[in-house]
Amino acid sequence: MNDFLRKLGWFAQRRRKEAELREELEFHLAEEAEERATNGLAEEDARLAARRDLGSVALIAEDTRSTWGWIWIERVGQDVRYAARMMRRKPGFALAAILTLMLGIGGNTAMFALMNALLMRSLPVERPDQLVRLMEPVHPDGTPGRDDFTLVTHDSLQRQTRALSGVLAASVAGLRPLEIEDQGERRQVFLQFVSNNYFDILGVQAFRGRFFSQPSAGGAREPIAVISHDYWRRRYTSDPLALGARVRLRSGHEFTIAGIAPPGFGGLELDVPADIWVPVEQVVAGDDPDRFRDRWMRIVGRLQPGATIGQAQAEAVAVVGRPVVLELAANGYSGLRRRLIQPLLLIALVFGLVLLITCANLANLMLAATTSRERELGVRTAVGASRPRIIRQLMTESLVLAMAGGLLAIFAAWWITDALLAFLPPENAPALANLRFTLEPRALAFVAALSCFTCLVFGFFPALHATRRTGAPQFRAGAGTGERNRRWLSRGLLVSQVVMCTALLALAGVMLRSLQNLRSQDAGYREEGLLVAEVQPPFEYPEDRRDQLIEELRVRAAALPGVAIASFSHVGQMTGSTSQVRVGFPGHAKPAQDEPTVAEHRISPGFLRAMGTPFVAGRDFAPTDDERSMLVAIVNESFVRRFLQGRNPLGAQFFRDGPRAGELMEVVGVVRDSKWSNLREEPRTMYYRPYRQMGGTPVVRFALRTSGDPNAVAPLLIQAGQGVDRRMAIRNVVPFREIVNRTLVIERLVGYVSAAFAALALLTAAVGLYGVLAYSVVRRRREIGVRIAIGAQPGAVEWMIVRESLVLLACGVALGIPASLMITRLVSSLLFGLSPGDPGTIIAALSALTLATIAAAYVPARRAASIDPIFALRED
Amino acid sequence: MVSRGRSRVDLLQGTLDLLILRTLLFGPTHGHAIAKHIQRTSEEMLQVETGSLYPALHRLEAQGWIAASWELSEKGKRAKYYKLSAAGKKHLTAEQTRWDKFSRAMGLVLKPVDQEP
Repeated sequence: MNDFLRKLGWFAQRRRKEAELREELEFHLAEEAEERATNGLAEEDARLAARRDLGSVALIAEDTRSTWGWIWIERVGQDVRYAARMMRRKPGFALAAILTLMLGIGGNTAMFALMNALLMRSLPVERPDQLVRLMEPVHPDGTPGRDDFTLVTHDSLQRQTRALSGVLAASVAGLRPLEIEDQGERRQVFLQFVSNNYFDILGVQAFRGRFFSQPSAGGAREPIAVISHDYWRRRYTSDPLALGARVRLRSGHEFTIAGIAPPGFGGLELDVPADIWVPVEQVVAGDDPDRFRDRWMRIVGRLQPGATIGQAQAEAVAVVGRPVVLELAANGYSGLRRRLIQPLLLIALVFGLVLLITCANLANLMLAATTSRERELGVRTAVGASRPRIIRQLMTESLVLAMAGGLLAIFAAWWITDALLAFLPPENAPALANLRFTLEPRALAFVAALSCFTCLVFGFFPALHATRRTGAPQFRAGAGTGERNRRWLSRGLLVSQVVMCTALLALAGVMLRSLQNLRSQDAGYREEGLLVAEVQPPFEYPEDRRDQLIEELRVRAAALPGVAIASFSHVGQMTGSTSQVRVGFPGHAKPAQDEPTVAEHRISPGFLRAMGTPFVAGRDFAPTDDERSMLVAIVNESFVRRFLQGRNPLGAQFFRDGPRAGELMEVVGVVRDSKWSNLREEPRTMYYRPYRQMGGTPVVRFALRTSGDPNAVAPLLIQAGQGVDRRMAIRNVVPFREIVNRTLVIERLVGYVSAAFAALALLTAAVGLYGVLAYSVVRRRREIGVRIAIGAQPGAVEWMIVRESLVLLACGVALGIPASLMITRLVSSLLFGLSPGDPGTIIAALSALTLATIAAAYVPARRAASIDPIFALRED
Repeated sequence: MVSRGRSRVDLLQGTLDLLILRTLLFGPTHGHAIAKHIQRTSEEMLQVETGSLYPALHRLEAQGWIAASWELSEKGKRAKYYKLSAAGKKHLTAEQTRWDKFSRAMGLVLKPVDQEP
């Protein structure tokens, strides 16, 4: 170690040492010359004689320098310079290598970073490994258990637990912000109701001010709130006067901001970092019967030192009185984690394969390149370079490539993470801060490790191979005995690339075709030229006033230029929500309870025509179908099939359960089935009724059929809304196509990413094949020259080269098809309208591969055919 | 390059080191003077190659047996003066003992007792 430090120290003073050495030798020369001069020589002659006697100063300097001990560093420098020189000679290869490595390593790093953020990263709290969360057990059918509970569950656990040092409750965070008044100003915030002991159990210390349980300086039981550091920065521009500000909830509860959470702390929910925390006890007091109602709380405990999770769980089961489980909660809560884990693993697999293809490809090209440098390596061996020295030098070349690729991969990872996150729907925007790529030590270590790994894979083995034979054979022209060996390795690498490419192409193929199948099916609506928007009248108005404003906006929207039909429904199609009711018919006492439910949609006149759902019989609702007239309904074909088989549906009557049960509705129209929640659902039994006959919804969704580009109408609609009432909230104004896309996040994510990277893999493999063939044609010039000289036709020579690559392709495909079947089975749950091993897709993948192979082989084949035998034979 | 350098130094290594250390026992001096001193005291029998002298000096310095400093020579020029360190003195004693044993052994073999007159 000491020795190493000394060397390092010397290395730092290297310049000075060099100058001193020069001066020392200079002095020696001067002394020598002076001595000769005193012996009677002329000054000039004396200098020359001294010079002659000394010999080569450079050589002495070199020998002396070698005793300094940093020679190895110099050699690394030499190797790097040499590698850079080789790369300048083949800039195309170096560029392609660095770019493919950048994407390969970058993709894997992006996946690692995302997985790390979703799964591994711990909450910024004290000893996160001691935290446990309360869950219901996984259902027998595999659906995960619920993780929301009533407040009273928290109360009893907190009171009775012994294995846990404390139990906290925190409200389940909604994806939508809440509106509050902060200093009299309306703000949209993410607010969490938490138990008093929330911050104490998490072990989070206040950045400024105080938290709930600490004794207040002011009056007793004054309701206080805590804001996040981020909200403090955004809302109060980090002004200390924020402490003492007052916030008011819509329910009328008021709180004084008394504390600021430390930077980076956003609560337990990864998807929705909280802005404000308020004590739930202020809203639902400790003895309020409401504590028994509604499961809206997450429950998290901290294990006592020495207690096991098993003890705590047994205790929790006894307290709660039904099966519950405790899980480690160090990584917090995340709905995205549940949704994204499978697609992210798939994408990780894709990126892993792409990186392997890149490595195989580079290994092959390095192999070909070192073989073409056989003679150079032979000369180096002959003049005394040892095998480790040559391997080291070849490795330096690949290391320089890998490091350059790795460095750029950091930028690629950042970019790829952003591109992947762009697939997430806008309601997940709050989670992005937690998921974006950050330069944290783990990610950097991953990049470094991956770069070294790739370097080892594509650099070490070719280097080992290239230096296996030493001595004379390299000087012989043409193929030696090791040639066969090398070609087998090279072929093996090409075949493995084909196998992986086949699998990737098949995966991308089935995903894209599923997307296409989902999109091209008859969904019962027309998504082009359709603009939708969520409309929310001011909450403070009474119900009928709100309905009036909605109707007013509808009328104004219908008059906008470019709008053909303006309509709305009480829940949005393709948002995933529906109202479920049970229906009954006159003559039966009650709706049958064991029957599946029916979806009820309350719509304005024109909604079905705006959505493009065709009528089969009867009429649309009219403005006259209101409170005072007869209750009417429009049913879909599934409704008719299920309830009204063999009858004329028009004029049939039915009723529903729930509020205003028993009022008879008369069917006035029948429409085609349409997908309501998502594109995968089976046709559902549904009926529609006029909004005017059952209104009163806080938010409705507008659907505008436009004659031109729906985007052009969006600003006009927002303007019209402002015209109706300044406080009218109009959100999510987007073409309906966008809404449909949001139901296909996972399919689109996996489909597009795998397609893009399959194309990249195919291109990489094709370029690699081209490179290997081009080298082999150069190496086989003489052989091909002889063939042509003795009468081979150009066509036959071309075919010889192409045939070789087609044989490799066939081998790769033979292994690739089973691999494709395996990989496509992994995504079977994401497929639609085709089976995992869809023959059409696999044939398409094979055609793409064949085309790419022929394209890659054609140029070298042409070059081979145009070899002039005279020149080729004369060369050696 | 390495191998060539080593072979030239190897030939003289033990002996040249010993000669340098012994010379420095008289006091600090520079490379040229060391070479001249060895030449003179060996009655011009031993020619110290400059190409061996400086690598040897730097190696001895790296091993900590001699220390170097820049001083003015008697003619007023800057020169690198080498000085024997404590460790170097110890090493010199050990080496000298070894050399004495070696030369006695050589002497015994080359001039056996029974051939003496």
